[in-house]
Amino acid sequence: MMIDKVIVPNSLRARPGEATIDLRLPWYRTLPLSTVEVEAVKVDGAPIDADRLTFDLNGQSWNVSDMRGLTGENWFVTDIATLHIAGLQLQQGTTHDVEVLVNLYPPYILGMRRAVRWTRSMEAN
Amino acid sequence: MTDLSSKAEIKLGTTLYSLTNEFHQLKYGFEDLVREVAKRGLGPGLEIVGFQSIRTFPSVTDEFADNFAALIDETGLELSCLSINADATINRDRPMTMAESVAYHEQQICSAAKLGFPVARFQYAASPEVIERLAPLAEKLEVKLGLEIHAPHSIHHPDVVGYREMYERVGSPYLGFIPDFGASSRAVPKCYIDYFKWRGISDEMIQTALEIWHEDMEPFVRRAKYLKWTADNGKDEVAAVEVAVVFNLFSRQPLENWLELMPQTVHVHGKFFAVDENGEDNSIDYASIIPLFVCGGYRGYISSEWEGHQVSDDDGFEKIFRHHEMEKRLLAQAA
Repeated sequence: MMIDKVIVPNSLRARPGEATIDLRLPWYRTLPLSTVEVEAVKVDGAPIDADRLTFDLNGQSWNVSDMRGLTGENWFVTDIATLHIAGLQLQQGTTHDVEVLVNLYPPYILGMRRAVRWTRSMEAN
Repeated sequence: MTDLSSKAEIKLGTTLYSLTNEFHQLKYGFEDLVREVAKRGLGPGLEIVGFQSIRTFPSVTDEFADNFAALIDETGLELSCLSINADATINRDRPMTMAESVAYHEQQICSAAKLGFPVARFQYAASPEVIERLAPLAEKLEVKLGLEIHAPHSIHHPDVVGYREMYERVGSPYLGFIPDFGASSRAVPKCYIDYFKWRGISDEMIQTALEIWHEDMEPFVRRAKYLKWTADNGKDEVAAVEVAVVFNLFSRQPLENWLELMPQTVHVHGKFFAVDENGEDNSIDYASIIPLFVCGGYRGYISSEWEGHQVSDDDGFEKIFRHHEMEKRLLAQAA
């Protein structure tokens, strides 16, 4: 199944001025990023504002609010994306619950939305 | 019903979609996945999903095509179908124009031909107008275009009827249908119910969905009815959307409906979820479907399509093996 694979295990990293996690596309085929929405992220229950979230893929970075326009940017099904959470300073070795809600809008099923919400407890490394 | 059994020639096969977990979880690369299908005798037919297996899709590089040809030669598998996609709403603010959709499909059909696939599975979101414009290309490249009839569509739904009428008018042997057995299910698969329970979704939410699923009403209305119930009753919205997939993945229609389309059936998606110790799938009545397709004179492949990978990490190869064993038994009985 994919829902529990959306947050890559052991991917929480504490870096100066930010934290990052790795994401996998929770779908069976490549999707354009315009059909992928990072709706919500929470760390230890605290919601993170979208303007602090940057999505890295294919050597590029975007704020999550700007992904809707990325019709020409594909997330290949086996590739890993990185989500940066600006302003989240974690201590290495501490454990945190990271929750994401990723919506997928498969472009071949009109009106369909797949909601993938998952929480993973990870040690910041 | 006229018995056309003497005309039937049904070959089994596998779509790599069934092995989504093995691929997604990086247990097998694409080529090794194909080799394993061959090694385990899960052919002879091989179907792949362009946007799953091929990074550059809808384009295919010469290198990929050459490697793929060598791989098929090595394994002895037979190419049955390339699944292509309509992708009408890549831009969520406006659907593709007809010209854009024609071009988008053209690329994929050309890739199907380049790879040697005799059939391309397309989806209803393409529209009859687009597919009509692609019929000459299909004929030129000798790639049959098959509309997959997937839940919640029935053969009588206006979306499907539009294609049937266009097919009749155009009269091309390169335009056909691909039944997906999930569109003639008898029950929601147990593995999905187990999954929802594992997700902590209430029995009330699950049971209400099942009741609506079994109600006699237009299938497309069921999902909206369920989501209205969940909203009116203050249910968690994300959980509701999760459960609502049952209305898109499996639906009911009389199995005999497939006979109406049999002369134009170019491929089959043998959707299944779990073949049990009695050799049956609780959600799809294979014991009735296989004899129906034999009697209907179907000539082509059935791709074993295990979709339970959405809700479990069970071994896909094992699932397909059991499916093939069941199909072989039923084919032998129907002969």
